[in-house]
Amino acid sequence: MRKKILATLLAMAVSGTVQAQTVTVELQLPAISSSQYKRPYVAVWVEKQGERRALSTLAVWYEDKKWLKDIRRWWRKAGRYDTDVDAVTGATRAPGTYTLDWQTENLPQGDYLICLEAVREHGNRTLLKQLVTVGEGAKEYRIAAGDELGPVSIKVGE
Amino acid sequence: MNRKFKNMFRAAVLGTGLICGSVVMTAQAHPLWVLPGEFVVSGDESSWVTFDVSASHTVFGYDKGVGLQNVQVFSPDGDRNPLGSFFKGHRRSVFDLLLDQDGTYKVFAQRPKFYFTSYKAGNRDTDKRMWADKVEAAERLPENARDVKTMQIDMSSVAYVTRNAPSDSVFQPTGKGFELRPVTHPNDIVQGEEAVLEALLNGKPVAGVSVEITPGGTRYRNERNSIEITTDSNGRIEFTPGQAGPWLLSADYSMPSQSPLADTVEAIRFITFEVIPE
Repeated sequence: MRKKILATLLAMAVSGTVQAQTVTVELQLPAISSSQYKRPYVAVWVEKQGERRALSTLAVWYEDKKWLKDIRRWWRKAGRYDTDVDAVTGATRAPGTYTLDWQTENLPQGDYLICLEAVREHGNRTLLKQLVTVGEGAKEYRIAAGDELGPVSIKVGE
Repeated sequence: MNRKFKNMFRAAVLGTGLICGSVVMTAQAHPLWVLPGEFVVSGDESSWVTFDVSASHTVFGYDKGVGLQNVQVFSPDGDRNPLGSFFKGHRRSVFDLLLDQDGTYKVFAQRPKFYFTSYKAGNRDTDKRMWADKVEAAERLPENARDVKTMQIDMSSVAYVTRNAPSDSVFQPTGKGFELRPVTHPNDIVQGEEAVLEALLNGKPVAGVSVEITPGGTRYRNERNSIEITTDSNGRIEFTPGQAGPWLLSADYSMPSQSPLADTVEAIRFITFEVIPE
């Protein structure tokens, strides 16, 4: 047991934990011209690779819980477990640019998967993913646009 | 009911001519399937889910309507749930189910058990068969009947549907006979990701069981595209579905009969599941 604790402490010392680094995700909901246009359901969350459940949900924009399952990957990784989501939920948003912050405080240094998913009634579904490294200083990432999401920019702060 | 099933089965078997043995025999029985309109639902309110039930060789093509008195629903809390509205047509049956609990439901459909006796007769060893159990066959068989074998066909089909967070209470095996136990939750099977299933005989993993897994929509393509796989020494199969959509899994197992009415029991199990896109 003591050996195990020691090993864990050592591992932590080697890998280090991340001190209050901010990851900023800037996303765009494109204007889509359609007579059937409804604002998309959107979720943004963080996964640690190899783990079944999401680490943290940054935002969920929806109208009716009946259709939350259609944000398929987010629903499977986070939504259905209903953990700490209320604080980040809100109504669906109009086309435009939105910024979300993720505080990495007390997280082990390493790679995290930022996921963005948007699904629109009578429209498409778009899932975008980017692996980001936290705990190694400032970094910047860009994800190319999909049908329901414009280009995404992710900044890992100092 | 029972007779209708027998008739349907007979038509399928006799239509193909030669019957060489149990493998061909069981393969000719119309696969029985239960297909929910949605496998996963969300929300705070109870949700209705619609189900189609039919027996067919095309995967999810409607062919034979099935009596719904042999459908049972097991809810996450272990109770049985009644069906909502239901209808039996010539080519398919339909029912509604109200999901009023969070968790995973098991919908189980079964054909009444029936018997089939094959034998050889005459100078040319002609293959013959009759729809009779062992006792019945003994009275009707000609004196020179040879290689007499009687099998009992035991066929059932399952679909799992989940409201909100999944649960696994309905996966608990009974420990009796041939059963399939999901290892990967059947509502969590993702295109391009490995899924695992276990075959059990009297509650213990059983190796060497052949399993066939076919994506729906066979009518609209030339290749059946089935994954054919055998359980390993741990009684498990691991497979990676390459396309999203509803799939049908079947597993056959032949075992000696404990009953004086048959020599073997042919257990045929189906599971309908959806593969979700990443």
